[in-house]
Parts: sequence; structure tokens; C-alpha cells
Amino acid sequence: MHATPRTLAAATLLAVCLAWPTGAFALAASVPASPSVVVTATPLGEWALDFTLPTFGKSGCLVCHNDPNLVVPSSAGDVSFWIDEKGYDASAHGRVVCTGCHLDFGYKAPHAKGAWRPIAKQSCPNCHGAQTQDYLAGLHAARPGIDKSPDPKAASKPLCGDCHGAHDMAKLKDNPAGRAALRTTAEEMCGREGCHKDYWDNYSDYYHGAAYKTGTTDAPTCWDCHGTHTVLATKDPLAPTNPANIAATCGKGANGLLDGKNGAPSCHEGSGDEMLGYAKLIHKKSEVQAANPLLKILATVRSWFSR
Amino acid sequence: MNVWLDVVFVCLEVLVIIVFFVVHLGVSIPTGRFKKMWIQGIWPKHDWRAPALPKFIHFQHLLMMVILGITGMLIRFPVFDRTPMRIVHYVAMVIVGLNFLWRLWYAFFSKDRDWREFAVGKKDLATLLGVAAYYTYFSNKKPHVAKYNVMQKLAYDAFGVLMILQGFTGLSLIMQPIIFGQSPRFLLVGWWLGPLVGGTAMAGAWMRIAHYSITWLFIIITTVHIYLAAFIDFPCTLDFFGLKELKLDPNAHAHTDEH
Repeated sequence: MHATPRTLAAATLLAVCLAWPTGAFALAASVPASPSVVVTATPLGEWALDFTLPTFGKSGCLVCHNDPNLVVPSSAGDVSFWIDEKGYDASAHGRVVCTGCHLDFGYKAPHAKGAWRPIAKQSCPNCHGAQTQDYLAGLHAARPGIDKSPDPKAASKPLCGDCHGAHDMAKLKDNPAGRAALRTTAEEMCGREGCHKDYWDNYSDYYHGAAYKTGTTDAPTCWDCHGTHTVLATKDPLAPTNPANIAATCGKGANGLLDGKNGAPSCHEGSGDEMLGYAKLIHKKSEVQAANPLLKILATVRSWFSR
Repeated sequence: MNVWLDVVFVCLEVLVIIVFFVVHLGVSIPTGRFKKMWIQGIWPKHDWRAPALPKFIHFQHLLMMVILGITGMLIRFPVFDRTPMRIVHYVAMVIVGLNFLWRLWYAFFSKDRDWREFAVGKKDLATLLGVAAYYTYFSNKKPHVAKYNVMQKLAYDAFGVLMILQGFTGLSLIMQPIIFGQSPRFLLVGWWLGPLVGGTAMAGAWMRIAHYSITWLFIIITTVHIYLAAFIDFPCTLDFFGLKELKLDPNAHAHTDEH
């Protein structure tokens, strides 16, 4: 595609307009904009932008997306498309270019409408193959039927980014602070509405749920017992929460904390199958309390005075 | 089991409060004991006041036990991060442990050793029914054979035994390998109780149950102790806390008459 003087002028004007409010104009001006930013009016009225030079890093995209005021109006309110550059730089993916995950963004502006979000969330296997294999073995991955029909629950199943977040994803490897921060996100990650809110709500026993919810760092978070990428139903014989595996799970300990490594104890060192009795209480304390006959009597007595 | 422990001990404590602070105190009014003590000012006589050291030890013990009780409950029923509560619990545990050893030294090895005051002999046991009858209003005469009556002695001795058990069960909860690569849990219970109950972890779980239960026994015994201190011998309690000096009666020890 050849640039005409008219398109070059338009491109320069657009680049300046995009860059000016964000202060990125200096950045845009520091590279020769005219040969690298080429804008063409398409028959459909969209603009095809060739951000080749600036966007081979991140700066091209951030010309627009580094603006905290970048929103797209919708019926539900303004949706922000601001990317916090500092958070992005400090994240585990600080050195990954935008198009490393946003594979379908062919430098189009406005960006093509469609399922760009799941595409970004599914770009992880390109780098994280082992974790993806683990994920695919678990219930969180959509599973086609025997007749290869699509999983009807596919839309409700989490993709990588649903748990790990996006642009400010914490570094976990060799980063105890990042791992500790991730451990505090159980409610947002697993216990949110539409996922496992019921299990988050009933995670209230003394030394596990109640302690975790009040900020105790050595209390177990969801994945300490249920596993990380390969999440399985308790009835699955391979699930760490399956009765056959409870002793091993309780004895293993929490990731990076009471994990038996570097001289640290595990959560319940020397665990046996007897731990199953207590394990049942972890998500069922409220039920057990409700079934306690003495508490029932007390509730009845209390009701006499509350009439 | 854990829910049962909570429910049973809370009910028991409420029952003890009702039995003593409502029923026992209430019955003291028609039987005349309340009037005698609180209106006429006739209290048990004493020919001896506690020296400063046991008072100090008692006060320090009281303070640490309150801290241990509160922090212990906040570890079991957390309302915020339990980690600082554990640290305070450990510090109070060390102080109360040293304090206990100090009291034992005072009782057995100091020049004012008073272990005989707490020893329960045949003479004491012979008065057990009489003392029980006095406190249950079946009799108005309390047998008087020593500084402390037999029920006091038994309660104080039981408290000491419970202190030792509480120390043992509490240390059994520590699972960090801090002693030659082994945890206190393993060294105290893991190696012998573990094989009997299904592993070191379960042995620790039983120790936690025992530790929590003993905590409630402390609370219940202390509730009764507070009631008796407040309503049976209030002047002695005031003296013990340094609020009002106790009037001594040289003939107090000799009397066996009605209280």
C-alpha cells in the first residue's frame, strides 16, 4: 500500500491528536512518524493503522491506552480501556509486547469488534505450555462432548486471565511477595459471583476459612487444597480433596508457606485418613452448627424471648 | 467434635454463672448469710494476711491468664489476623510458665514455703462433706481445720495440675522443627500418641481439643473463684488486691463456730 501525501498528512495529524493528551507526543515525535504510521481509509470507513515501529514494543498501543480517560461508552456505563503503564511494566509480562497476547489486533483502529477478550486469554499456551496442559486436564477447561459438540458450559468456565488477571499480573516465580499477594485473592479469583461464591461463603471453619478471611497468611487459600491448574471435582479419584487423597493433601501443606520445604513444617505433618473427619468441617461448619441438637434447643429458647 | 466443644462449654459456663451468681447468691438472702455479711459486716475471720510476693505472683498470673484466654479464643475464633495473637500468646505463655515455676519455688523452697497449706490430708478429706454441706446451705457450720478448706485446696491443686496439662498440650501444638530438627508436637505426643490415633497430625488435633477444653475448665473454675472471692470473703479479696487492709483476729484460727 503506497502512502499518498494526503494519507501521510492524515496520519501525522491523527498521531499528534492521539499522542497529545497523553504526553506521548514526545515519544511519537522521537521516531520518524511518517514512514512508520500509515493510515488508510478503507471502503468500510475503518482505519488501518500500521504502527510497525512504535508498536513492536508497547509504546504504540500506549499512545492511546496509557490515557486514564480512555473509555468506550456503553449502555452499562463507560468502560475503561486504560492500561496502567507502570503496573504493566512491573508485571510478569512487562517485557511482553501487547500483540504477544492480543494476537488478533492487526493494528486496526478502531480495533475489530468481536471476541478479542477470550483470544487474549487463550494466548497463554504460546508461552505456558505445561500449565496449559494441566489446565486442560481439569474441570476449568471446556470439554467437548463425545460427539465433539461444544461444551455447553464453556462460556462460564474460566480462562487463564480470569484467575491470573491481565496487565498487572504478578510475578510468581522466585517472588515470595507476588505469591503472597496472589494468596490473598481467593475471593476475587474463586469466590466471586457466578463461580464458587457458595463455597467461599461456607469456607468458615476455625483454623482454615475463618482464619483466612481475617487475613492470616498461613491459613490455606482455595488452591492449597484444591490444586492450582488442574482443578478436579472432589468425587474425582485424582482430586486432592478426594477422601482417598485427603491425608496427602493435608500433609503436603500450603504452597510456599507450610509446605515442608526449606525446614518449614507442612500444614499437618504426619497426616492420616483420620483427617477426613475434620476436613468435612472445612466447608460445612454452618451445616454442622445448624444440625447440633443443643444449639437447636438454644435457638428455640431464644425464640421464646424474641417474640 | 469442635462444634460440640464450643456449645457444651459455653452452656456449662452460662450454667455455672446462673447457679452461682443467681441461685447461690439468691439463696443466701433467705438463709440470712447475705444480710450477715453485706449488711452486718460479719465476714470470715483471719489471723493472717498474705505476704506481698504471693499476691504479686497471683496478680501477674491473673493478668497473663486473661491475656492467654483472650488471645487463645481469638486464635480459635479469629476476628483479625491471628498471627499477632499467636505471638502475644507465646509471650504470655513464657511469663505464666516462669511465674508458675516461681510459685512452685515459693511453695516448696522459699523460707515462707506454704505447700502444706495446699496439701490435702485425711483430716481435710474428713471435712469434705461438711464443707460441701455448708456451701449448699444444708448446714450453717463450716469445718475449719486449716487456712484453706478442703474444697479450696482441691480447687487450687487442680488448677496447678491443669496448668501443667495446659503447658503440655499447648507446647504439643507447636509443629515447627525447633528442637534438633524435631517439632515439640512430635517430641511430646507424635511419637507415642501418633501411632495410636492415626498420625502426628491427629495427635496434635487431640492436643488442640484438650488445650481448648482445659481453657474452658480454667474459665469455669475462675468464674466460681471470682464468685467466692466476691461474695464469701470480700474483705480478704480487697486486701489481696491491695485495696483495703484486712483486719486480723488472733483467735480466728481457733474458732469452729458458725460462719
